[in-house]
This record gives sequence, C-alpha cells and structure tokens, in this order.
Amino acid sequence: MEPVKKINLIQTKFEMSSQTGMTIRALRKLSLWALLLLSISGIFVSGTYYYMLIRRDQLTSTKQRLSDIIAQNPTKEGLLVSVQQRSALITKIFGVQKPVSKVFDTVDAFVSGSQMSVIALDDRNIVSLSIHAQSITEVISITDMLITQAAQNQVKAPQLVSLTLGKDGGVDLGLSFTAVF
Amino acid sequence: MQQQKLFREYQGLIVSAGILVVCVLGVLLGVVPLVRKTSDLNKENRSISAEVELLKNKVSVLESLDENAMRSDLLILLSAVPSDKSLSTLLDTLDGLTAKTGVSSGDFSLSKLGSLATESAQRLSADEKGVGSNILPFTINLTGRVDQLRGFLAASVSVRRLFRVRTFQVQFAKTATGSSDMVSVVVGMDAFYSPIPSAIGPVSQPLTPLTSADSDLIAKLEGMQLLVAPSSSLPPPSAGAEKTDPFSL
Repeated sequence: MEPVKKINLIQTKFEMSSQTGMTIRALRKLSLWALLLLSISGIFVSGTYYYMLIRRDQLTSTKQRLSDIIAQNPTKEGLLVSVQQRSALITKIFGVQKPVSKVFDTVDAFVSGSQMSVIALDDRNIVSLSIHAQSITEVISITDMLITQAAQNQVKAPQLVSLTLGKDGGVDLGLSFTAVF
Repeated sequence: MQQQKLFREYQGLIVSAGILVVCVLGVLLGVVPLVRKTSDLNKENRSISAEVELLKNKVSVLESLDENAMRSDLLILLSAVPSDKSLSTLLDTLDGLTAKTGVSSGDFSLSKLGSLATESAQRLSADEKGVGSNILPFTINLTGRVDQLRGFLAASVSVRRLFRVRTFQVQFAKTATGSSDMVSVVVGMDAFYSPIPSAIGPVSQPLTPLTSADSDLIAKLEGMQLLVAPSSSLPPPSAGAEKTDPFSL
C-alpha cells in the first residue's frame, strides 16, 4: 500500500523580503554605531565634566587663598585707595585754581598804578576797574590799549561801564572785561 | 505559536530598535544634560578664573606696596587737602603767607564754618560737586604794597594747603598826586577739605597701582612750600595686629 502523501500548508519558515532584510541589517549597523557614539560621547562629556569640577575646586581654593591674603592687608589697601582718591581730588583742585595775580599784569599793560582806584575780580572772572585819568587823551589811550588786549585774546568782552568828566578836566572811568586764565 | 515564530524572526530588528531607543534616551537623558552642566560649569570656571586673575593682580599690587611710603604720601596729600576743616592749618598757612609776602592781614571771616551735621551728611554745593571736595570759603582783608599783594595772590595758589582765590577787590590809597602804591584788598578765597573714606570696597574690587601721574603729583606737592608744621609724624607700622579702621594713620 502506497503511503498517503501529506501536504503541510502552514509555513514552517517565515519568509522575509530582501528589502526588509536590508532594512534590518542597516538598522543593526545604525544601532551599533549609535551605541558606539553614545559611549564615546558619554566618556568624553563625563571626562570634561569631571575635569571642570576639579578645575572649579582648584579655582575656588585659589580664590579663597588670595582673598585671605587681601583680607590680611586692609591697611595697605586703605592707604592706596586713600592716596589715589586724594590724588584725583587734588588734580581737580589744581584745575580750578586761578592764577589771579595775572590780572595785575594784564591791567599794568594799559593803566598805570597812579591812575588806578579799584580793581575787582568776581567769581565769574569779570574784572572791574575804576580809573581816574587826567584827561580824555589818557582815556582814549587806555581804551585803545584795552581793545588791543582783547584783539590779542588777553582779555574778553571789554566794556566801558561808566565815564564821568570832572570839573578839573579829570575823567573817572569804569571799565570791565573778562579775564582769561 | 505564530507570534513566537514572528518574534524569533524579527529578534534582530527588535534588539537593534531597542538599542537605538536606549541610545536616544541616553543622549536625551544623559549626554544633553551633562553637556549643559559642563557648559554651565565652564562659564562658572571662566567667571572664577577672571576673579582669580583680578585677585592675583590685587595681591601683586598690595605686595609691591611699601606701607611706610604710602603713609608718607598720604600725609603729603593730607597736608594739601586735609580730611577736615582744619582751621589751625588754614590760619597758620595764611599767617605764613602774609609773613612771607609782607602784607598785613586784617579782618578774617569764615562764611561756612559750623555745621551740626556730620561731614558725610552735608549736602555738597554744585561747586563742591564739580571739584569733588568740600569747600570752606573765607575772606581776608589785607593791606600792603601792590607788589606784596601780587606776591600774596601768586603764593596763595602755590603752597600747601591748597587755596583758590575766588574774588578780590583792591582799593588803591589816594594821595595828592593820584593813587599810591599802598593798597587794601578784600580777598575771597576757598580752602578745600575732604574726609578720608571710612571703608574699603569688597575683596573683588580691583586695585590699580599708583600711576606716574600720581607720583608726579605727590612730588609736586612735596615741592610746594608747607607753611605749617606737619600735623603728625609717621607712626610705626602695625606688625600683624589688624586695625579696625584700615584708613587710620
């Protein structure tokens, strides 16, 4: 009797398409590369992190040591700061000091001492002069000289403030100008 | 049965996918935060490093200082601009100036003498703010020859302590022939003073050494005539014992 041939219709082996197989191989490669990269980057980043931690500790310790040294020298620091502040202050004061004796040199250039009655300087650097001249000719000479001084920028804004002619022919003259220091 | 077979067939795929997921999670949960922390740490280190450089510089400046020389420099500066009104040095200097130039002094008045407020509580005027110092205005009456007066005005801005001539009014004496050489004058002047700072800044505050301009200024002041006796001699340096006020002389 001839044995009966049986046909098994259930698939014993799962068939994959070649494309699926390629995808799986690619994915496997990708996963291995990803694992490799993760490991390398992990080691690198962790190393850098720990290096930074150690560096921070070193820097903090150095900072503390230096701070202690500075804290032990408050007198020196105080002296230096005081000297520097006062130097800056005195430099400013030198800048606001006016060589006021120069006003006399300027006035001497056009008025003789015997003609002078009053010289005044105010805090806006305006010089006021009261002069007694013997004649109009002297007045003209004085004003001409003052104008010349102004032209040479020795003085600024010269002004004739008053002029009084006396019975004896003498002239009382009021002049002002801004001094240039 | 079927599922088991399917799993067996796709085992490689599942493992690969699992590894990929682990890698992605590892990057997201491990590497990225660590990179951020490292970056923050790097910033922090840079900041501390800058501070350390500053402190090193400060220590180097402090170590290069000669404390006695600094005290001497400060005394010179204080003789030019004292820390308080110091009326004694003001009057002594004026006396010295009049004696030096030959003028006679008359009335003397201070216009801003007494203040009940402490120096730090006083409001500075615009002029004082401009100069950066307290100003003590005063007027003095003088008599003498014109050349003596000129000498006084010239010398008053070239001595320690520092003065500024604000105003003056010169009255020439009259004679039969005109004005004489004798004059009387009212001079409006300013003296300067400024309190010494009572506290130093934080440790992290930068410190620069004295510049050549500072040294030149001190040398210039030292060369200016001091018409009063120095107020205090140099105290011995403090050895180790810390002072409560670092600015105290």
